[in-house]
Amino acid sequence: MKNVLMFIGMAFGLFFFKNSWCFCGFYVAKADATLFNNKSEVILVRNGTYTVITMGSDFQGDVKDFAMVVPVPVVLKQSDIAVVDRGIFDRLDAYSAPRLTEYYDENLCQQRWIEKEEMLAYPSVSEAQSRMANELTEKDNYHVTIEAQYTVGEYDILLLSATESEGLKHWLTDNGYKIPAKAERVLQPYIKSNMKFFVVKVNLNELKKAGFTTLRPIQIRFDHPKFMLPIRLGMANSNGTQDMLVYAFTPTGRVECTNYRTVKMPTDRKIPLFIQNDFGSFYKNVFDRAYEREGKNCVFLEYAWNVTPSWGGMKCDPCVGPPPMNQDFVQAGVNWNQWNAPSSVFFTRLHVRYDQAHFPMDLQFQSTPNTEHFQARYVITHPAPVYDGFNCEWGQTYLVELHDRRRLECEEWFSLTGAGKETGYAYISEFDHYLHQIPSHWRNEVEEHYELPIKTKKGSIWPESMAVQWSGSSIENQRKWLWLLGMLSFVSVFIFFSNRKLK
Amino acid sequence: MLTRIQSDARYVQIIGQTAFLCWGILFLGWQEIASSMFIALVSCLSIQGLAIMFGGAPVHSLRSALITGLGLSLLLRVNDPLLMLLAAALAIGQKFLLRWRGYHFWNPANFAIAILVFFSDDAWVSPAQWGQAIGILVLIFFIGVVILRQIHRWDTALIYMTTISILVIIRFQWYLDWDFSVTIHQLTTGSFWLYSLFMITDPMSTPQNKGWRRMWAIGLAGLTFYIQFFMFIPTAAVWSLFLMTPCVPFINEWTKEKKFSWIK
Repeated sequence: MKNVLMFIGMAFGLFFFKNSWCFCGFYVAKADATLFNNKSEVILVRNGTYTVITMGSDFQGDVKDFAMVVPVPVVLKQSDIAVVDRGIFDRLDAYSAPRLTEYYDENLCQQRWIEKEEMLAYPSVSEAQSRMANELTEKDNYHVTIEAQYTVGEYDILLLSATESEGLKHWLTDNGYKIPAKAERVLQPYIKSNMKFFVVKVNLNELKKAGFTTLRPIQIRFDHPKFMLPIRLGMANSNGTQDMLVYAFTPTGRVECTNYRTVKMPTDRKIPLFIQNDFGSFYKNVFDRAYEREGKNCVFLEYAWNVTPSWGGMKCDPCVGPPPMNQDFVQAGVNWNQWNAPSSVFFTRLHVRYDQAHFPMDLQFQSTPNTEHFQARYVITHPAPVYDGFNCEWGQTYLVELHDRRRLECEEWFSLTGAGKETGYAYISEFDHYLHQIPSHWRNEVEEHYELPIKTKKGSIWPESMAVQWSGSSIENQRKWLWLLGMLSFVSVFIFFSNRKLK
Repeated sequence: MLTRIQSDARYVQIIGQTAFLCWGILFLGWQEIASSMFIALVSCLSIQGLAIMFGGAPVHSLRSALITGLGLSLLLRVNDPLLMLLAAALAIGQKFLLRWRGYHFWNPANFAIAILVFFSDDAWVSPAQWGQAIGILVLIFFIGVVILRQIHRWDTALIYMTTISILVIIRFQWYLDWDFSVTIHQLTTGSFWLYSLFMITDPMSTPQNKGWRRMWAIGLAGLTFYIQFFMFIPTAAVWSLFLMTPCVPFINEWTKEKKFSWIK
């Protein structure tokens, strides 16, 4: 029964996604974390109430000035703190970053010509290269207790508990930690919620001994029902926005934010070919626009996939980097995927841009059983090779479609980024000179030269099928209005026919 | 049509919940999960239909079934749309199978959500799905006021929301010393408003006696607050309602109030 219904569901899917592509594109570019200034990266692992947080720092200044204060729910033991290799962030980022895929059109005129010439092998389009100790000391005057003190790797670590923010602030400044002026106000709520302070400073001797020049990420683990990332402390002295990438792993499914809306990034959009030259800044614009549009107080989903090493399904399309290996998971703190008892690992990549005004609370999360796969993916399509022109019926139709498609690509670019106004007509009309006759529906456009619409749209602008003349409505929009109409008529009919006499 | 709508408060409830669903489809991308919503609505109505044919339930109870279906669509999220069929079966089945002296123990939608989220690995609730948009809060508020006036349960919602607000202000503003924007953020989430005005005010699963009902609302608010901020479970409202409604039939039996009737 289930299979039958699944089949019907699939048929519906095909109906709605007539224009969707098969999974066979090439990966050409990615928009990784290096694009965003003021960014931090965090790996979150959550299994039940067991949590591992790995904090990547892109600290640029003198290492002796480095200090970090993180509120944590419990006093951590030395074995709960580790220093990990920076490379894991780069691997996870590379693997889950928004991606650009390329597809190739075929020249069917050419194919016929080849048949005519009885050539056995014609150039395959798919050959196109893929570029691819715990001392306890109470200091009366500060009301600060050192709950524990460790040296882990190149870091000196203190776990403090305090009873008042003034004292904690003084203790920190007197002990050589540079604390922002407005931090005191933010420290208080954490003290009152009985949280401890994980305080980190660089041990210069250890750093010299180890021979590192950059600071490695610190990892902490604890068992506590609180599943959150304290962002308020970092905002104490900053007026601008900060970007944070969260790579989350759970055994169940997606991680989502519980006090801010989690929104999917626009995905599977066809964009102009030349974007491949600068996909990074294109994606940055897409993100900026999505951030503005959703009210600046959302968390964005960029990637969600089952990445279990033993799982046979497709892990990405296209793959931006090699998938994380078992040792990456172990390093990230995934403790349930042992060789003797492998179980599933679900990877979620969240991107949040926060500032003081729109994010009054720390980020709180929940791990859901939602296993729907998602990736932020943009598509470019190469035109068919010209060869001897498009001198066949198919070729002429193709040129009209190509022109119309490229106009839509430009509009899609505009609707995604709000930029691209300066797009030349040159891209849209690049192949027009192979046309024998200008189609009638272009007449105005060709005369006045094409201009993008004034207002950018929220959804995709692609019509349901490229064969149909562009109607200006999208698949997404059509489905949306269809369901809306369906819902309203269903309820109206129900109310209308609901018979009172039969009570 | 208008007199028909006024004759039974459930009509306004249906219109209201449909409006929220439409909001979700328009602004929150719910067209993606429309199939599970469709299954929820159809299966709730069909199961109730079976109960009408074979169990002698009144025909107008289809309206309650539709409300349950809409409630499931609004709150429950599933991996497999077919799980909605199970949710509908649990919700409607519980109304007929778990009864005591004419009262059922749980709000049907809430019962199904709690059972599925707890026991299945494929269902969840997204408390932040509405965000803080002012539009949805205004919509919830106005539709809520109309319904609560009709079913005389405005006191429950008001007391519940006030108690939660006071507790949040005491904890976040006064005790923890957070900025006032934190309190505002906590109290302006769409989920909180929707739950307060629609879920906990179900006249069938709240005490009939006024005094008891108000006490019950305060208790419910306290329990929700405790589960959310001391046990750190973001979906606290679902669990507190699930724990608090089973005592309602006993309160009703003890206070000997007349049973609520939807039909005027």
